[in-house]
Amino acid sequence: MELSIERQDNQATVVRLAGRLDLLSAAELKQQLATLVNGGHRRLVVDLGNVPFIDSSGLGALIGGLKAARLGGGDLRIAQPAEQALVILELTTLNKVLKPYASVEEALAGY
Amino acid sequence: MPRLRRPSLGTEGTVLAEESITVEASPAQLDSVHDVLARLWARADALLSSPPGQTWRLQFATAVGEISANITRHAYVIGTTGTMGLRLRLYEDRVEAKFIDRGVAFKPPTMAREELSADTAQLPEGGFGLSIVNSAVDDLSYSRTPEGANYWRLVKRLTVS
Repeated sequence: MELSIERQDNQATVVRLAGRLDLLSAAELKQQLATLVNGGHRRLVVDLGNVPFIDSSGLGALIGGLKAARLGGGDLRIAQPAEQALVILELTTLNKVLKPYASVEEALAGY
Repeated sequence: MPRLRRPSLGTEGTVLAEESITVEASPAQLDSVHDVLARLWARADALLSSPPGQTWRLQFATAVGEISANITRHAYVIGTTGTMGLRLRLYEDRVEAKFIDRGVAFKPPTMAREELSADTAQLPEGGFGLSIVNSAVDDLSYSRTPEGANYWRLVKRLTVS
């Protein structure tokens, strides 16, 4: 999985992922999200547009980031999830807490 | 607690297609699992008049991915290696995945899976795996043989749209 970080004008941070978010890559994402939040970047958007597959470890990393961001008064939003991401979010009912946004721009709006 | 056994679907019927792999039980080998699924779907497209739709395939692939990850993560204790076998079979009415490993016995979770908390701070960051598999397929079973092999069997019925 590839990961890049992009600061936005409105002080939000976009984390762009490419590749599968699974057992192999979840720890790296969790660590990166924790580092961002600890560094004061508490308004996060994770761009899932190029993530074809997420497993429960990947979900755990996103939940970890969400909890850390909210604990610091911010939030974590997910943008343009692929169809499999929507499937696993629905299977776990985590779509109730990780509401999918159709685009990065929509996720950034109102931040 | 996630159910490990449901009223088992039958094992009868003609096998239309079969794909299998045996790989080292390592996260680095998860690519192979996705590759073998892609091969089965290609054969299903060629063989079935009404092949399963994308959401159905993704549900099955998600379940197979969870069991694969579980085996690569937990079957073999740190410092040891072993293999994971996966056999996929396409029948007229269902798709079946059967895993085998020779690692330690699977220990079912002892805590009940509760509804997700509305309080973000209380959300679990793990333990979703079996719940996902149970929701994604029609039949899930696990068994361990006296010889020390672990078998997982997942079955998902084909639905005609």
